[in-house]
Amino acid sequence: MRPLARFENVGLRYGTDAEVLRDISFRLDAGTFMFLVGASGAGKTSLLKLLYLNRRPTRGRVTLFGEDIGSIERKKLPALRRRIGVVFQDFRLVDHLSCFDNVALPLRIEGVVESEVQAHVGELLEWVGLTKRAHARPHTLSGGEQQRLAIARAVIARPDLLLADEPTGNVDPQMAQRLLHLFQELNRLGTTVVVATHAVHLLPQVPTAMVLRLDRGEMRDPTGSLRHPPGSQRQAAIHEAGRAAE
Amino acid sequence: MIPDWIRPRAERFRFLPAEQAARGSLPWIVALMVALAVLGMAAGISLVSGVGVMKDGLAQRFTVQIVEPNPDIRADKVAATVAALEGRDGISRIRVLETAELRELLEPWLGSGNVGEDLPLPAMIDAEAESPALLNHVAASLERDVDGARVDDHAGWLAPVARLAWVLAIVALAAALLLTAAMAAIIVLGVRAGLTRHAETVDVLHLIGAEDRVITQLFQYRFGMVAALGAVTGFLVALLLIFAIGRLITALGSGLVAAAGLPWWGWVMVVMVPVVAVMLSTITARITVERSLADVL
Ligand SMILES: Nc1ncnc2c1ncn2[C@@H]1O[C@H](COP(=O)(O)OP(=O)(O)OP(=O)(O)O)[C@@H](O)[C@H]1O
Ligand SMILES: [Mg+2]
Repeated sequence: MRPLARFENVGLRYGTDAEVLRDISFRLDAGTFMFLVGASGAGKTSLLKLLYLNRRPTRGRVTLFGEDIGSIERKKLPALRRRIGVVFQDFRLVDHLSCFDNVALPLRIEGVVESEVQAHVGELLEWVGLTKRAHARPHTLSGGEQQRLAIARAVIARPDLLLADEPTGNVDPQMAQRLLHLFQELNRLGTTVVVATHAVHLLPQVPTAMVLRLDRGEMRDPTGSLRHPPGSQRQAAIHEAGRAAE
Repeated sequence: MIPDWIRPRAERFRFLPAEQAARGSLPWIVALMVALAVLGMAAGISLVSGVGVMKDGLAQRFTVQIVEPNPDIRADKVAATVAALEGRDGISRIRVLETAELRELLEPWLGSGNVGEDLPLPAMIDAEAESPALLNHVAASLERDVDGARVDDHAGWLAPVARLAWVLAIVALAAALLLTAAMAAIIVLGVRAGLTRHAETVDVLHLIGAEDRVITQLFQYRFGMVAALGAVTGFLVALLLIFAIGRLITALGSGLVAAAGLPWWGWVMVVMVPVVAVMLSTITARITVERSLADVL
């Protein structure tokens, strides 16, 4: 299968600081569900930034949708980014727009006709339970509502790759389950999903998921952590991650 | 109020929040600059063209002045000169100025009543030559043949005035150009401030997949609108002033300034000022955004 993304000895540093990611190598096949786990500051968000084209690697090679991200031309980026949906850790909702307009943003940027926008956004808001807040401004929402709004915006345009940074951090366990089900549903429909999370108890819910563990910028157990056949290393890794979390 | 085909999508869907600039000082600054540039250009152009008009009218006119204290000899010389002039092809409208006319001409300088009967006056003969070349030729031969004759071509008097008019016009044009540059600089600052204020939103728009074009069009549109508002205001104010000044000049009724006035090409240039101001603002905004965005991934 053709890899959707491939990391080869990737290093990333911010400015002149020490590398926050070192020697990251893995491939992400289309249709995969991947968990990205690791302690706070391990580099999960940094790795996602490489995947959502917010940073170029400072070392090594990142290939995404067949393009080398280290050398890709700026003008090719928008088309790639439209294939990626991102739930940012800090949501990045656009505060001067209503909830409805926030979710509509990716469609409107693509130039989708307004009647379709209205229908799709309405449906999705319904799904994440925000229909009543459609015309509210994001800052008036609760943390969990903002999170759901951010997720709605990330998935509205049916991306090929969905990146979610700690998407269940602010919601109750039931909502966390529902959101995870949404991601699984999208995954079943063909979307490649990467979820960065501390919440290792979510891992067993997606038995087919691949787990990438980061430890202070390095891949922990690089061979074992990539593809886990059900019931073997994956379980061990989850176990280990669980212990680390405690 | 503004039709959708002018407003870019990014503006219709408010990808960036409405800008304060439209309600702030920027339109007034543009208005002031456009008004000053229009006034400067109008003044410069009407000066230059006014002098040109006068020069055209005077180019072929000349006066022969004969300085001779003895009235009898003077009369002979005048007769000889008139004969010489009449004998030539291409010389027309020969006229000997009467003594009374000469007195009148002198009165403003000497005071009325002070120009006595006994004051010796030179004789003056006005005439018009067909061409400047003929004028020069006639002047040379008259000054050689008639003792005490001096020929003044009227255009010659205007030369320093024309030079001054040109200098003033160039100064006015330079001032207009500097004002234009200053306006562009203010637009650059305004756009940069706008980009900084909305940096986070611009970032999100980029990450969601917006092309630079979306943001460029938005800024281009907003600053174009602000500039248009300012330019129209400034232009109307300048027009009012030009008409007011025009009336004052007409009221003077002097021959020199009667020739002043904007020729048709002057009006075209003056109308171009606000148009150029809006175009320049739009282009400046565009380039500023493009340059700023080229630095981010
Ligand atoms: N913009 C930045 N400039 C400099 N250093 C940064 C920047 N962003 C992150 N870092 C550093 O990089 C390291 C990894 O940060 P990152 O945000 O990737 O961690 P994380 O795994 O997402 O953590 P968390 O679970 O708390 O979100 C941290 O030490 C952080 O201080
Ligand atoms: Mg993070």
